[in-house]
Amino acid sequence: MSELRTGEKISLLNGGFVTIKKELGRGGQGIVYLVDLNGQPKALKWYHNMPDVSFYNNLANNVMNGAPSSAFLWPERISERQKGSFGYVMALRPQNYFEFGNFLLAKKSFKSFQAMMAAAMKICNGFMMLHRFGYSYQDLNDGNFFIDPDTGDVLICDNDNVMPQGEKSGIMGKARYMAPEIVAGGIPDKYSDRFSLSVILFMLFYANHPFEGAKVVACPCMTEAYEKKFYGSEAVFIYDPNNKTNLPVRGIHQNVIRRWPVMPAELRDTFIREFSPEMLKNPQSRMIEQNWGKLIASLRDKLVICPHCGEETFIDEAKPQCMNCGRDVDVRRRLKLGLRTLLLTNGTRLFIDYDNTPDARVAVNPQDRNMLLLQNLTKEKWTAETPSGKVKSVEPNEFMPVKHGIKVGFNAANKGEIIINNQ
Amino acid sequence: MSLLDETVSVPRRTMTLFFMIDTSGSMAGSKIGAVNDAVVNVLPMLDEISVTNPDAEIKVAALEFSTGCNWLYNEPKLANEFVWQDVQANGLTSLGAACEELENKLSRSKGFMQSASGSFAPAIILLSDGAPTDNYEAGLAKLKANNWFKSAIKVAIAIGDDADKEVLAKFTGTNEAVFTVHNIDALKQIIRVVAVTSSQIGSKSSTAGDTTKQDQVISEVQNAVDNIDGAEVATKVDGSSYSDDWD
Amino acid sequence: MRCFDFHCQGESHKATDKMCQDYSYSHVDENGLAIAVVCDGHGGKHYFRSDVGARFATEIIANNVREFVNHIDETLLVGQPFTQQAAIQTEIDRQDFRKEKPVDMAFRQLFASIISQWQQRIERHAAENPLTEKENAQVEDQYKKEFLSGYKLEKIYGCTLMAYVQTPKYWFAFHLGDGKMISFDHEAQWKEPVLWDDRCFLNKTTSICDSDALNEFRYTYQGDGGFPVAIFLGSDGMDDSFGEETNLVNFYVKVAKSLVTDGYDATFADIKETLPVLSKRGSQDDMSIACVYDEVKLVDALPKFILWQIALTKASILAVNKKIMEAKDRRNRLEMAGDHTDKSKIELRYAQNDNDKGYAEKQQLVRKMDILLKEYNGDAFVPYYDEVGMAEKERVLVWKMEEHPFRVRLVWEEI
Repeated sequence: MSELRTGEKISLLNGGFVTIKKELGRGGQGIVYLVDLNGQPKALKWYHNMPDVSFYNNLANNVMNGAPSSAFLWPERISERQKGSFGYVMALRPQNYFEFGNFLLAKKSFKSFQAMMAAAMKICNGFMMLHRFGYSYQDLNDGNFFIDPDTGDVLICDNDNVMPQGEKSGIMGKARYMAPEIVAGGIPDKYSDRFSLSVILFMLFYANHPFEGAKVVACPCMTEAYEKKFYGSEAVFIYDPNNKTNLPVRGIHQNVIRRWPVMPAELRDTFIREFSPEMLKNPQSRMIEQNWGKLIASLRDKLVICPHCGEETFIDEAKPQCMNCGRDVDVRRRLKLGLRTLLLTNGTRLFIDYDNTPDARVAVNPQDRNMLLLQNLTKEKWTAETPSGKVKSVEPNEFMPVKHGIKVGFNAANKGEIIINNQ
Repeated sequence: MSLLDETVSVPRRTMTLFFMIDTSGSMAGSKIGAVNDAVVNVLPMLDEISVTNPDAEIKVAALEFSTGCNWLYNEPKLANEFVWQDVQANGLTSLGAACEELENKLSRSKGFMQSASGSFAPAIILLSDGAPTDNYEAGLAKLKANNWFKSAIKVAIAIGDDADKEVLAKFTGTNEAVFTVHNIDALKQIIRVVAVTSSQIGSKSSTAGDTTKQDQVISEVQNAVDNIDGAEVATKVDGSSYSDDWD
Repeated sequence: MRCFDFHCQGESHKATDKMCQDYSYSHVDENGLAIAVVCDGHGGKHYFRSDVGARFATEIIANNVREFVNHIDETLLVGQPFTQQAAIQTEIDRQDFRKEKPVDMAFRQLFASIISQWQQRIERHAAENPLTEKENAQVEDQYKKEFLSGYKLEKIYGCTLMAYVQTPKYWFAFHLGDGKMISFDHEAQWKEPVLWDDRCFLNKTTSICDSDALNEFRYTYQGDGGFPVAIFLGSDGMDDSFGEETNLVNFYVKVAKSLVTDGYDATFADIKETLPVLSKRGSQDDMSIACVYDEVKLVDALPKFILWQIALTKASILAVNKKIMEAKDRRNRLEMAGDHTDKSKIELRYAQNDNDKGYAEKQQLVRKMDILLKEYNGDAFVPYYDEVGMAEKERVLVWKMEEHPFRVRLVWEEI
C-alpha cells in the first residue's frame, strides 16, 4: 500500500507536478489528497496498489478525450507511474454536494421537487453523453454520485472505471446497481448501464431500491447466494402488479410507501414497465436515456406552484388538485411546446430546454389579478406573435401577458403557443 | 432479599410543579392578594397528593416576574416544606426574561431537574393579567426548544380581559389550555383546580401514546371551569396544518 | 459465559389487571454464543397487545441474530475497535453523516429482517385473533377504520427492544427505544455501550412500530478482543426505579458481586424476589432484566466492584458534607444577624431543615460505607469517620486510599 506525505511532489504525465497538501479521504481503492497544481487546489486520487497497464492506459485515454459533460468530475491529468503506484488529478468537489447514499437513507432531502427533477435530468444527460462518447459506466453505485440538495446539480465521481463498451475493467460494481444479467456474470455494456440508470432514478425519486421489499429483508444476513437471487435470477420489482411477494415493508421502506402513491402516475407506469420480468430479461428493449429525459421533462411541465398554499405540486390533469393542501388548482392556462404541455400558475418556473436552468417565470399582473404574465429569464430575446398577427419582442427580464393564441419563439429550436382552455 | 439492602438506593420518583407568577404593577391589590392566598391554601392539598401517591412525590418551585424575575427559592421544595412568601406587585411584565430563566432551570446540569429516568414531566402554571413588555418571543422560542418544556403539562390562567391570551396560548401550545377568570373568587378557585389537577395527573405513571397528560389536565379543568362563576375556557381554534412528507 | 433473565408484572399493572408487557431472553450455547434480549411492550391504552408484540420481538431477535452470526462474513467484525453508531435519525438531526461501511449494511439487513418478521408475525396473530369487544373499545373511533383494514396494525403491538450478542471473536449490541444497557469491564468500569437516542425522554420512546423504525436502531460492535465482563439489559421500569444512573449501576454491581459470592442460583432467586418489590418501591412499571457474564473474569473483578462502590459512596459523603456545612453556615449567619423578618425566619427554618436532613443522609451513607469497608477489608475493617455530621472524636483522622503493588487497601492516617 502506497501513501503520500504532505509536501511530496508527484510528477504528471506530459510534464508538471502536484504537491500534496493533506488527505481528504480514503476508500478501498485509494486515498484522495488535496494537492496544489500550479497554484490551483485540486484533488489527487492515489491508488493503494499499482493497477495493471491496461487500466493505466485507459485512464490516460480518458484524460485525453475529456469529460462527456459537466456532470462528471473527470480525470484531468494522470501522474507518471512512481512510488509503486500512480494517481490522477481531478477538480475538487465543491461544498454542499452530498453523497447519493445520504439521500437514500433520507438523511438529506431535496429542497424542492424542482431540484429533484433537475438531478434526475442531469444524471440522464450524463449517461447519455457517456454512451455517446462510446463509454460505459462499470462501477455504478450510490457512492459515485454527489448531489446539491438545493439545486439538484449532480457530480459523478470515480470516473476511473469508465471503459470503452465491451471491455471489462475488472472492478465488479455493487450488486444492488447491477443489471440481472451482470449479476449472473455478464459484461457491463450500455444496456446494463440503462438498467442501472433506471435503478438510480427510482432511488432518486422514491429513496428506496426497486428490488428491496419483503423478500429481501426477510433474511437476517445477506450472503452472496442471496444477492445473486434477489438482484439477479429472482429479482422482483416491489410494485410488480402481478407478483406481490416482494412488497415494501412498513417501518423499513417508509420512503417508497409514502412517495409511490403521490408521485405522478406516468412515473409509476414507466417503472412498472421497466422493471417487469419481460424487460429484465430483454436488455435491448430497456428505455433509452433520451426517453427518460423526455419523461422527466414532461413531469417537470406538470410541476407547478399551488396558488392556494404556495407549495410545489405535480398536477394530474384528470384531477387537478394540490397534493399538499388538496384544493383544486386552476390549470387552464398552458404553454403548448411541440408535444409538451407546460401548465402555468403564478410562481411556477418553466424549463423550455433540457439544460436545467429555468427559462421563464409565471407571475401575476399587478394591475389585473386575473391575468398571468411570463417573464423572460433567458439571456436572449423572445419573439411573440399575437393572434391578430402583431409581432412583439420580449427582452431578457421583461414580461409578456399569458393570452390565448399568442405564439412565442423562445429560440430557433423552441416555438410555443399559449392556450387558455374554455376560451 | 439481600439485593435491596442499605447499599442500594431506590429514591422516590419526582414531579415538579412550577408556578410562574406575573407580579407586575397591574397585579397590585386584590389580584396579588388572591394569588398569595390561593397558593398558600393549595400547598397542603399538593402535599396530600404527594404523600398518598405511590408513583411520585411532588416538589414545588415558583418564579415571579415583573421588571425582572426571581425564584422564591433556589431549588424545588417538597410541597409540605414549601413556605409561601407573599409576593408583591410592581413594575413591568418581563415574560421573555421569565421564559429564559425557566429554560435555565429546566435542565439537569445547571437547573432544578434530576435524571430523566425516575422523573415525571413537570407541570407549569403561568398566571398573568397583562401583555409582555419585553421581547418575549426570543425567550419563548428558547424555552420551546427545551425537552422538559416540550413534555411538560402547560396551563395558563388569564386574569381579566387585559391579559394577552394569544401570548398565553403560545406559551401553552394551545388556547384550550388558557383559562380566563373575571373575579377574585374565580381566580382563587382556578388556581386550586389547576394546581391540584396538574399534580394529580402529572405525578401518575403513564406510557407512550396515551392522550397527553396536558390534554387530560385540560379536559378535567374544563369540566371544573363550567362550575366556577367568572371562569371560562378560551375558544377552540382550528389548528389544522398540513404535514409534508417531503421535507 | 453464563446468563440469566427475568421479567415480571409491574405494581401499577397489578392494580389494573394488565398483563406484564415486558419480555426477556438469555442463552449461552456450547460454541460460546451468548445472547440476551429485553423487549418492553408499550403501556398506553392503544398498545393493548404489546405483551404479544414484545414476546414476538424477543423470539425473532433470538433467532435472527443466530442466523446472522452463522452467516456473516466474520472479517467485517473481527479486528474492529469499539465502534458506536447513532440512530440515522440522530445523524439527520445533527446533519452529521457517517459513511456506510459493509458492516453497517450487514447490521441494517439484520435490523430490517427483525422488523419485517415481526410485522409478519403480528399480522398473522391479528388475523388469527380478531379484536375482542374489549379491545375494540380501546381503539379510538378515528383509527377504527384503519385498524380494520390492517393499516397501522403494528401500533397495538408496539414495543422497544435491546439485545446483546457475544461470540468468541466479537460482540455487538443494538437498541431501539428506552431502557438501559450497562456493561462492565474487568476494571469494574461501567458504561452504556450503545449510544442514547435523545428522542427517548421521560415517557416518550422510539418503537419498533414507528413508521421509520429501521432508522431508529443504534448499535455498537467490537472485534479486537475486548469483551465486557458482565452486561445488563434492563427495561425502563428498572432505570426509572433508580433515578440517577449511578444508582442503577450500583444495583447491577450488587448483582454482579452476588453472582460471585452467593452463586448463580441464589442470585437468580434473589432477582426473582427483588424485582417485584423494586417495582413497588420504584417505578411501578413492569420490570425485566437480562444478563450475560464471564463467570471467571467476574471473580477477579470482585474487589474492584467493591472499590467502585466505596468511591461512589465517598463522593456522596463529600457532597452531603458540603450540604451540611452550607446549612450550618447559613444557620449561623441568620442567627448572628438577629433579623426577625418573616423572610429570615423562613430561611432559618430551611437551614435547620437542611442541616437535619443532611445529618440523616450522612448517617445512612456512613452505614453503607461501613458495610462496604467490611466487605472489602474483612472483619478487621476500620469504620468510616470524618468530622462532619458525626459525633466529634478526640483524634482527627483522614481517610485515605493507598495503592499497594498487589492490592488496594484502605488505611487511616493520623495528622
